[in-house]
Amino acid sequence: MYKERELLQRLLDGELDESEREQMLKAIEANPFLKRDYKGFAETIQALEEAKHPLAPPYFTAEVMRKLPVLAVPFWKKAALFLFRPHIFRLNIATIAFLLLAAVSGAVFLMGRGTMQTAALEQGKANTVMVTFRLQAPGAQSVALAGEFNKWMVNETQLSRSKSGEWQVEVPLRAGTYAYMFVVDGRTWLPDPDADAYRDDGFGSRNSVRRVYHL
Amino acid sequence: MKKILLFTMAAAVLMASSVTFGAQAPGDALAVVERAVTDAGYAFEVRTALMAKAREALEQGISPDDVTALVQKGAEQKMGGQSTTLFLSIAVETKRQGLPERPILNRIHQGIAKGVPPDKVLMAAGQVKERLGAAAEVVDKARSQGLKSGNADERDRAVVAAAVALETGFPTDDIGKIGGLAAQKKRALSQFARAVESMANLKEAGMPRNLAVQTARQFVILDYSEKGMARQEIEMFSMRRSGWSWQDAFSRLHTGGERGTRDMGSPLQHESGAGGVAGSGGALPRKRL
Repeated sequence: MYKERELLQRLLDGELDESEREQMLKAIEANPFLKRDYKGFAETIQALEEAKHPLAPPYFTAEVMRKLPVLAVPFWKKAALFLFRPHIFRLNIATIAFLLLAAVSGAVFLMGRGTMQTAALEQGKANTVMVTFRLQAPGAQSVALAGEFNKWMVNETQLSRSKSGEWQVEVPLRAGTYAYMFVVDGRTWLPDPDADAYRDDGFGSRNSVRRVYHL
Repeated sequence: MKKILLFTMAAAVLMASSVTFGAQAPGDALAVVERAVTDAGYAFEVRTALMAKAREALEQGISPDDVTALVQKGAEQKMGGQSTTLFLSIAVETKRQGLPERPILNRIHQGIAKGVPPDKVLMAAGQVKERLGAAAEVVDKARSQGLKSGNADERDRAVVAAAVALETGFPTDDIGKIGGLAAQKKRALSQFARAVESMANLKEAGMPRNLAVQTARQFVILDYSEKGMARQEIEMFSMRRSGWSWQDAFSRLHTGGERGTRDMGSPLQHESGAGGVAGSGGALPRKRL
């Protein structure tokens, strides 16, 4: 019986030569049990061959692996696995569209920001005029300029001394009117003798005034 | 996938926040303020109140550079944290009332730098605020009468110009009349602001008040551009230095004048010409001594 089963298997698999095949078919015809089995197997094979063969989805293995119980692993190992293990992503159209939009917005933003900064810088430069402030103070150790253009910072705008004892500095200013004073040796506030005008400083003294035009 | 979406959204939020804040972000400014306040050794209550006010100032849109400079200078000059808190308060209050805070901050910076006692700085800042309030009323009235409204910056500029004019000694009425005239003539807010700036500049240079008002009125009536007004202003200073009386200089503004060779008759000629710049002394962009 076992031998007949093996031959039947080989017949179905097409492994018998012509003479063996004929002998086997005769034996099947003579044996009703063998005939029943042969018919059943042949029909099953035919049904399988005619049936549709669905493919496993590409992420099938990953899904199966994901559902397997996870062993306790240290964080660094998890991180390394996360970074270096190949990943399979499932993306729908909406997600792809969102990511593309974010990437394009980011690129436009970065380019626009650079352009805006450059433009603002250029605009700022274009609207300013270099204004020279001078003071004759041969005996001074230091002279600084404090005014509305530098938040009255005493140490921010230092004048340079020439051989003749004249102190001077150039400051980029936009068009407008500015109140200012010289600060000599860090403590003495002096008005500019060559100022365009003088104005009450609100504290009982007078500031120098410089008018700047940008024509 | 959710992680990627979260990363993307976080990046978007970071980019948006970097657009909002300029050179010095409020967060950075607060850190600087906190350091200065801690180094100054103020008492806990003073420190808390100052930090809260600094935060409020930044939220109101006051420049982080100004906030940090005020706190740092206050600490350097050992003015006391309470005074610095009051300085910030008046700036915040000004901003909240829709007034430009720059003149207030200028006055406070100046007072601190000159070592003026805090109570006097506060008083001076309060006076500036009052003038700004009065100036804003005049400007807003002119806008409601038909002055071509500009943006918020132009409105601030007009308010500051009117406040400076008030400080220079012009009554509200003078500025109001210029505003009414500019509104009637449908002039731009920026033209009104420049006319008022010229009016104050001329008076500051010694021109009698009434003549300065008339000059500003002429600028509005003749529809001078801002640059045109600036050129006229420079020309008048130049004429004055050459020995002309203010009255003569003013007369040349709308009559063509009798003396000299300068042709000042038409605003259009001043728009295209370069007259008034060279030899105008203090009015030059690059001062020559």
